Amino acid sequence: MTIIRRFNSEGIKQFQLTLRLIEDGSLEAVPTELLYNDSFSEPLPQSLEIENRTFSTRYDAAVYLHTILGSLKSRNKFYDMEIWSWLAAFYFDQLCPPDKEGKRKPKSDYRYILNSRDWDRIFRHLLAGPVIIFDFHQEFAKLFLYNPMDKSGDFVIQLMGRQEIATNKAVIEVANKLYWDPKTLRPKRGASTTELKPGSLRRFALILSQLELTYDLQSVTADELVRLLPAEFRRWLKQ
Amino acid sequence: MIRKFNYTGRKKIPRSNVLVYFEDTTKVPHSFNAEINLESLKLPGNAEVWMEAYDTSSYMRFFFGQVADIHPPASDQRRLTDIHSTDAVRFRIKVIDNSEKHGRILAWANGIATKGTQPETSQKNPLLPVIYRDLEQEIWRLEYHPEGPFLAINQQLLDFGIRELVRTDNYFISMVYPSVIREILLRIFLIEGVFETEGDSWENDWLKFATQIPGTGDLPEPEEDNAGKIQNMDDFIEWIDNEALPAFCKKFEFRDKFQQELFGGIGE
Repeated sequence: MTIIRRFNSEGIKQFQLTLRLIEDGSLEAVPTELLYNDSFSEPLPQSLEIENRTFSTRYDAAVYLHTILGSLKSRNKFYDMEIWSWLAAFYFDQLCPPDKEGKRKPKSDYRYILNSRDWDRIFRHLLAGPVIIFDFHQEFAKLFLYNPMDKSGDFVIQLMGRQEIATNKAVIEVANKLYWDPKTLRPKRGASTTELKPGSLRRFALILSQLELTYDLQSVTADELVRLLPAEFRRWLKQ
Repeated sequence: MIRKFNYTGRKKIPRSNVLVYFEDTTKVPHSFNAEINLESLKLPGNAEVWMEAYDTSSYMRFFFGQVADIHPPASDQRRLTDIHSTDAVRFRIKVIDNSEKHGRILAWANGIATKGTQPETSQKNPLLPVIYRDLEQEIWRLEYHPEGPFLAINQQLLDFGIRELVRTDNYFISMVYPSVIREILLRIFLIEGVFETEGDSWENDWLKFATQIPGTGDLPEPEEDNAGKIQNMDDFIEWIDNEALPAFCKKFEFRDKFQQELFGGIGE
């Protein structure tokens, strides 16, 4: 077990630099010194421990980290840049696994270094994002978190980018009714396509933005929202 | 000219009917209150009134009673606890029918800025709120939201004093703000298709601001073809280059200020 720490500003800078060095192949992994040297990080005031376990899905990681970090007293515990960036460095092996040639290819920094100012970036963080989604939606969060640790997926991009939608329980419940397959524990086949096919996830996001002009989506229930959807979505409800 | 149609039957609440202010800025997170006047809109008395606070990344919602009995929640329940930047916070008011057609928006207003700390000490709404974001290697950029443009500054420079620089540094101000004004005015004409000062939109507010600068000539008259497309866009571009920009730079004496910075306060 490891005591959770938080980066200081120097630690954040060094983590950023580390990502560059990994990107150009000068480094293979996050150095242990970056994680535990007091020049870069410090333990949390409230001592918490985590295990470097392997998670098969983002949902598993969210449940585990939500349980542990949930006990923190801080109001912004799920949005704390220093903590979540340190955790990303700690779990970096899983967040940025090596490809077939053994090379790691880090994606944008905000996937590892939490940008807590921009809602659409918060959800792209590969650890804080899943935990916040799970905190809002519990079981319904599986639709967004069924995939491996290093992927965020189209459902996050289409529905989590705006806080009004991302935190709306009725919207997320309806998205589950439409697109989640409880047998395969994955989204239904064809739900997420890059084209605007009838009843697809992208159409759902578009229809929501149209409905918002007429309806206060915070006031409607999941059943009411289903009734407001055009007929093209019916076949997804039946599947 | 692009005209906007309202197919929803939703009424527009004039922003001047909703006065939002912070109660006490010494306490963080701030608590807000609002004075709301809906009398002229003839809305059903039992419709619900909701205030929503938001910035680019966060959102909160507050129940303000019903049209016939508007009352704010208790002060401690009006704290903007989930709003990340109270500098750039905006408010939206929605009047919602929850009796007949459940959830239908009957009236609303968007992009309402606070009027300072008390209603009587009202300040002008900032036309260009400053927000801080991760812009990687960019220093600044303009972001356009439904309520208008925001000047986004790279938050990685916060530790190096960028917040103060944006407000007071003559180098920064004299080099960045004229470009900002040019880009916003170009956007208003070329993308938003707005050519008049009358109205309640952010584009109208910006055009009012630009035309009120001493030395700026009147806006050109838009000439439309049969399809409503503007034929004299060049006149508007020229108006930016020859009227609005020079007047703006003259008003704030950018060259003089820049020169002072260059020569340590000794002008020619």
